[in-house]
Amino acid sequence: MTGHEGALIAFLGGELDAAEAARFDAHLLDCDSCWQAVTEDRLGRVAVERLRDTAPPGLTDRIRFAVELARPPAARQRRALVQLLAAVAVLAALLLVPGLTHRHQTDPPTVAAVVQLARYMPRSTEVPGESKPVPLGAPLELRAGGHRLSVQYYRVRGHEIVIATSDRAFAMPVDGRNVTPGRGMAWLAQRGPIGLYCPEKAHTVLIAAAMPAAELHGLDSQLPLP
Amino acid sequence: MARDAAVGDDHHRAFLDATLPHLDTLHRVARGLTRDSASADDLVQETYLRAFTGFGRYRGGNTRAWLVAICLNTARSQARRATRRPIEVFDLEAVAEHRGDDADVAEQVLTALDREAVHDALRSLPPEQRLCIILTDLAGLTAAETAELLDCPRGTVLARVHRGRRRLARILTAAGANRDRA
Repeated sequence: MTGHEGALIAFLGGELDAAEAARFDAHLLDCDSCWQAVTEDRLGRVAVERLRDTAPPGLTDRIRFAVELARPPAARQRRALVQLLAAVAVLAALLLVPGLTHRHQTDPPTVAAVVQLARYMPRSTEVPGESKPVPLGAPLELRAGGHRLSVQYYRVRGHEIVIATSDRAFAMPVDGRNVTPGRGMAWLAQRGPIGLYCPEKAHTVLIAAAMPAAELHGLDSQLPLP
Repeated sequence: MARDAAVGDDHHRAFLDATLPHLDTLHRVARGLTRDSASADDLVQETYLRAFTGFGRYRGGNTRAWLVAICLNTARSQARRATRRPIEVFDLEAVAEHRGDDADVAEQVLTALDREAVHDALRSLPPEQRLCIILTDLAGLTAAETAELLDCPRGTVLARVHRGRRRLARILTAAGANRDRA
């Protein structure tokens, strides 16, 4: 570092006391190279400061959902308690208490993510006579299980629905069922109050809503599928 | 169990309350460290997830600096995994001819700034200068905060910032001159 550069950096960094700063200020009037250095320093600083954007719309929601998905599910705590009982008692509890394991630990991460997203639907007011799907809020982009999900909420005939598009096909959960048994890829599944429907024509699309999955399938023709 | 769930809700809420106010800062840092907006958003999400995992051990203090440190570490981890791509390097010997030696030239350059050109120029800086400029000029951290994050003297940060800014200015001035001639 040259002598001038050292003093210049100290000057620009506010390290000089008042007297020293005044002397350096005077020096700038006579020194072309220092003056140029100050000019370039300012140009570089302002150029980068102008890149200071606010975070894009939707990123806050994306972060909230991602953190929500990362929370340890309450079901894990229940499962830990059940595992203390005899194996027969565990099986009996599962058979006799429907919904005990409403969050299925075997669900693929992307399916589990969509179920969680469906539990946090934006509430909307039903508009009488509304016939077309109405988007609710801005689209969300997030990642689940290493896959990218694009999510959009809609109001369809008074129901709030989430439509998620992934970069991979949504795998059917183990307790899912094909819409046409033995044929095709379309499937349905239920997670407590949340129905899931994966259409045949778009395996990378998963639709979820707080209704029976079969009813969701019945809305197929009215859904704005990508 | 309901009590455990309630505690979990408090933890989750406390985390978001403490960290979401710093989203803009984190996004600026991430944008400076990555090639495009989508990669920046992914880096921010990963940063928040790692922070959430470690929030139980966090003892308070400068939350912004804590988050930025996680962001830097996450970016380094991702960079080690990613395939290296060649970075375009500006020829500074050619740039040296276009010395911005008066305020008018500087103003012209600033007026004509293209955001992507500034990001490209930033990416072409030596890594230590680029990182200091991202943290101070882009994200708004002080030189002292930056020095603590990078574990180096404050004077070193000031020197890197100054030299980086000058290099950036010459690149942008030359880019502007080249564009005008084209």
